[in-house]
Amino acid sequence: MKIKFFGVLFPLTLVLILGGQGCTVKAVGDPNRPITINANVVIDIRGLKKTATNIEDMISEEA
Amino acid sequence: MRHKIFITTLITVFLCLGQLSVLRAESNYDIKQMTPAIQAAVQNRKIRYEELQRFKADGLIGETRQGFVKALQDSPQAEQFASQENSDRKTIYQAIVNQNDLGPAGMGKVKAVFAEVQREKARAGDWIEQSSGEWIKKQG
Repeated sequence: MKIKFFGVLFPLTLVLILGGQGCTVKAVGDPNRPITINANVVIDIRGLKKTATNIEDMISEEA
Repeated sequence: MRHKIFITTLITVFLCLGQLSVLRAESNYDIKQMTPAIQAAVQNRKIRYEELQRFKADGLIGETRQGFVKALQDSPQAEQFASQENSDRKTIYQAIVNQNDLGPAGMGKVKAVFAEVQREKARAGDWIEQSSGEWIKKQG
């Protein structure tokens, strides 16, 4: 139980959480063959749309 | 043992809550540094805006689902115009991606979102490409 929780579940949860937050997690093992989990950048589409709308409004308003 | 599990669970819960707040908070993306190239691109687009509307109204240019414009008829003038407009749009999109660290997938998202805004802002009668790839004339 102890080994299973601290040895497997907790590290796995941390990897999932950190991966979701946009970090790159490197598993240490064979230094010649590191396992790399690619960074995952979360893009907020609503925020991006607000930015796009502001820019397009600025371009059209002052035309 | 129980104490350790409790502490570990508590830490995990806090990390999960942090993750949720990251997802829920509306991010503020912006052009943070107005370089001369970006400023020129914005200015060029402002100057070009009314002419672009005329090209669109004449059915010579349409808005693509990639956030760019496209010459829809065999018109060298419209093609050149679209090329200039697209070059400036690309500069602006790239600036948003780079300055907000949006990563490799960022450009695709930025293009798609700008395309959506262009579709919303298009005037009745303008040609717009739907996200499905279908070209339609915008209804009033």
